[in-house]
Amino acid sequence: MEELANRKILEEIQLKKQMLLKQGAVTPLTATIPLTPPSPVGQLPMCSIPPVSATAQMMSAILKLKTLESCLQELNGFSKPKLDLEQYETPAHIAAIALHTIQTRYGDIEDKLILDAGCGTGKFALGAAMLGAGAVTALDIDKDALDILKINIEEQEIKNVDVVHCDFLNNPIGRLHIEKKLKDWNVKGNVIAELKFNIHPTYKFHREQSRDIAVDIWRMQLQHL
Amino acid sequence: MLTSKCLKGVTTGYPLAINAKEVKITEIDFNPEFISRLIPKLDWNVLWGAADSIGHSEGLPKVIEPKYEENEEFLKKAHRVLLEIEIEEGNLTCPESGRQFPISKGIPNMLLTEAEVQ
Repeated sequence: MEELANRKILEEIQLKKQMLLKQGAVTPLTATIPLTPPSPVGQLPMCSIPPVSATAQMMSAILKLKTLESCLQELNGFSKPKLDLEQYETPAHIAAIALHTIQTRYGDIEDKLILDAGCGTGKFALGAAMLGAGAVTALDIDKDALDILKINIEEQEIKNVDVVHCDFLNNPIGRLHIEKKLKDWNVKGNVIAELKFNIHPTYKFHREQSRDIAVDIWRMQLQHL
Repeated sequence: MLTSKCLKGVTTGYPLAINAKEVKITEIDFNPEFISRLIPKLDWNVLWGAADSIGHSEGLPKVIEPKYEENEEFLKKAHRVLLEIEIEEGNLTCPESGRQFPISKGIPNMLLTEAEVQ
């Protein structure tokens, strides 16, 4: 039972990460994806980012990882998480690493159009805006979460985040499922980071104090014909 | 960018008509590179129509200007309608079914009941 719930959480998070990666502006085909040396992020105990060529360069981010993390820490979270919607707070540390990696390795946030599908209280949406996204659209089915997101937007004085209350079709996804779908859609995808997501007991059925869940960050690119 | 095509019997559901009761204008930092990259992805006619329907088409060209990347004045106008003008209160209406989606405190509610979904 618990195992199943945890699996669901994992899938949820994967979906979120993917959506962040799947933005309006896709790297043009002619551009080669710059490889970066193992980032300082990679040395943190909580995640492993596959080592890549040492000759390539990191891209800049307008905020340092630590600064981003402390900004995300200030955000209001769910007041009453809802079990049926599988609401779990993404730790600020994880969200910061994910966003910072997406920016410094691929330059996929700054000046880009970002969609956060299943935004909850907006840790990824606001984090993307803090990293200089051109505009962010945040979707969620839960009005209570969006109300908190609105408060976060106001408190952080962020102006380019649009909010839409809607149902985003939520398919269960695991690594195999993603790989199959990517093939169907002719989309290139690969795991760019593997994180350990530290979940604190949100609901009563969580007997353990906290638990690490493996989370993958996927990067997907449309294959132009 | 929103559509109602998930509704039963609706095939395109785009563009949704806008009925604005309250419009808010927020100043947002102008980012010409971002706007330039956004323009080829837009349906400019629809954008112009949307701006016109809420009384904000004045001075906005009906067609995308050639060499818009270098035309700061044009990009600023696009920036304004794309990012700065927001509907705080109002409705979006599906062009086929007439179904209305309320906008409250700047958030459009696109939720459908199970019976409405295709």
